[in-house]
Amino acid sequence: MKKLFMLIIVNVALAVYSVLFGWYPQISLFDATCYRILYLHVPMAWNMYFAFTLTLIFSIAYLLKENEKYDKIAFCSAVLGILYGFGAITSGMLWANEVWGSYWNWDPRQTATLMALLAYIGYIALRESIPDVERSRTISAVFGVSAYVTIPISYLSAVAFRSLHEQLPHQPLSFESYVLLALNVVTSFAVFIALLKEFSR
Amino acid sequence: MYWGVYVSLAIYIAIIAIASFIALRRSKHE
Repeated sequence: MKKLFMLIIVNVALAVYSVLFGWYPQISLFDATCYRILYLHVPMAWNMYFAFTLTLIFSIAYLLKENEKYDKIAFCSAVLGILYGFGAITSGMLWANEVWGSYWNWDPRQTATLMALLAYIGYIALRESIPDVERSRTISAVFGVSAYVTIPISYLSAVAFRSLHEQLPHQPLSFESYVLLALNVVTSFAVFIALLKEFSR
Repeated sequence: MYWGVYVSLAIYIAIIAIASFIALRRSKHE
């Protein structure tokens, strides 16, 4: 627990530093300070993708081995994935409001990520709605595997379709911003792993 | 600075706080 709180302090301190002093490009079309949202949005989105991938892996493992521990990890990872996914979508909406002109644009990435999030909320709802514990674990593991189809769609939607995401505005980032972004991703990922360990204990 | 940056930071911290609160409750429960 002590290790988790140390990691959280580092993670939050870095997030605050990035928001207050992080690099942003000089663009006059809109308030370019909104670029600082990237330092928070990207780690949350990657944590969400990683969390749902873990749910897939441990759901398969549960179906193969029927080990209670695997089911617990799959479930806890889905809960964390939903929390981080909510953060990724809302921070993305705040960015979109400034850069694209409105909070919600039915952009392929926005829509596909919302669908993924709804699929995993359905996973939790389904799990809680079945009173028989063994049955609930097996059915939710099957759902945990099938819900994963939304993740590659969400990830590839910005590349495969004509998407606003990452393409508008096409603005190269500085080396300094990549370093700060990488640090945020690494510390956020460390917090995610520590939280998952505490959750699924 | 764009206000949405502060809101994003608040959401980010809130997510970590909620998750660690659940983790803390679980560890106390056990």
